[in-house]
Amino acid sequence: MPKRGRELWYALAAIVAVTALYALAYFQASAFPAASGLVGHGIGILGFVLMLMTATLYSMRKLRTDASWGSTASWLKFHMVTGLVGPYMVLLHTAMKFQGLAGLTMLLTVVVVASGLVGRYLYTAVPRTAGDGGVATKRRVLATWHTVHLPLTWALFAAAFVHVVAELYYATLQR
Amino acid sequence: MTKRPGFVSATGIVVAVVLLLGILTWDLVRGPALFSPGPLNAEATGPALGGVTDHAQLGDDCGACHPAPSSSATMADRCLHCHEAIGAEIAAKKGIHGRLAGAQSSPSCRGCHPEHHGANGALTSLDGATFAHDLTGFSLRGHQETAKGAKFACTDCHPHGYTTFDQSICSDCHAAINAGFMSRHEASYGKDCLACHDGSGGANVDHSKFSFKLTGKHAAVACKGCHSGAGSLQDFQNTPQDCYSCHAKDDEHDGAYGRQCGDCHTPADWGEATFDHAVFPLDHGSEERKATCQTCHPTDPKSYTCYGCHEHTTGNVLNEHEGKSLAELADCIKCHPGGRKGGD
Repeated sequence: MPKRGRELWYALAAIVAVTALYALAYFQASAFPAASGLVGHGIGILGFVLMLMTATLYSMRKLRTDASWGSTASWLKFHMVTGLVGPYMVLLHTAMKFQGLAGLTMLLTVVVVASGLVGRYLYTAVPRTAGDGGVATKRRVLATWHTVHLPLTWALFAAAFVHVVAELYYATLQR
Repeated sequence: MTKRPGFVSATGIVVAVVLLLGILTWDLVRGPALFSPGPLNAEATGPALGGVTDHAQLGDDCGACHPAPSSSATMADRCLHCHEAIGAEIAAKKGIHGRLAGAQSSPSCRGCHPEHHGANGALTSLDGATFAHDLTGFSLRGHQETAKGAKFACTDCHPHGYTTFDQSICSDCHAAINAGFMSRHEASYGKDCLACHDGSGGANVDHSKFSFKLTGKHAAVACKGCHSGAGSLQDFQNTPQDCYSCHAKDDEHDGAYGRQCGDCHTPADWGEATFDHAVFPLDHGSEERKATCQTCHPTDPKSYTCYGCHEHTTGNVLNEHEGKSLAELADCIKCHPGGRKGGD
């Protein structure tokens, strides 16, 4: 396996594994497991936790100056893996229903993931060879991209927060 | 200066706050439908309940079904607020809902009745494999496979939904199995199958009203055990009531004691036979070695021998009766009717 892009293969392997387990539940129910059921809730919670890890851990690692927690490159790879697998699990959680705020949250998830893929492309495509200002160019491009990617992520988590509270109020905590 | 994590962004926070305000505004202006997972059912199937003929007419009144979690009311309370007839069923512990509620520790309507599955979404969702059909008052014990050997599906009896059942389905299916039987059966008993049949294999018939009482082990026999092939009332009434018609195959005496089994036996158990053995005391023998029927009647009940027991060997008997031959000593009770040595 080539060294570059390995994190995408890891993400693909995890997605395949999640899909296989989900398929078992699908065939048992002969339908997409309901979002409010055990499987639906479980996969939604796990996916959301992965998305929280995506949003926080890489940034927090970059605050450190030593490598005791691993290299930033490794954490960036981790960010990309969780940033793909988490949203995929949240997609399965929806049971392919995209009504109201839940649908908006899923839409924001897709937009943020797409934005992240753009960022990955920019990160690898913009040259950073010294001499022709490559590093500075790269930094400017990524900074510009960051001003879009971050607010989108904040919007996503705001919508997700309201979605979780609303579902707790109208469904999970109902007796 | 303490560095902040990269995900902390002033623009991001502003965007999040704007979005939250937007959601709040939408909720205040348009109602909480924003949080609905799907449209409500819009099929009107009966008279208005709670002022609406279908759930979709509730519109944005989410509280009609979803009480605040802090409230003491449950969702089932909200359902029964409109569906009063169901509430009456549950309170009276009658009907399918009364029985179902009684079988659950905390009754929940939504376990079987989902919503938010669209205007035409099913309002009843039952897993045929796990649903305890006995709770409806009709057991599926006798309805596991169809006449063609296929597994029964719910729609075989409920083609138009679970809440309806047309008894003509019973007639149609059973007539296909045995048209003559069904014709006679319905002529005698009518078409209200559920008046007598609860699916357990028999019929709710008070047999104590008839001349043949179902006592002892007769009470546990299935109807067809005695009324094999009976279809009409006359068939049932013509069922033989003598023991031998059913129990000829059980006769261990091969007819040697006649056919009036009831002279000695009761429906409690074959082994509890009573017999007036006046010709000879039945307590003959010792406590340690009690005589059985076969001891004295090894071949058939009409003949006997005393030579099967301990001291009654031919040698001993000949010694005790000098001058007599064995042929003259064959009928012992002639001189010993009480089974005693002295002839008493």
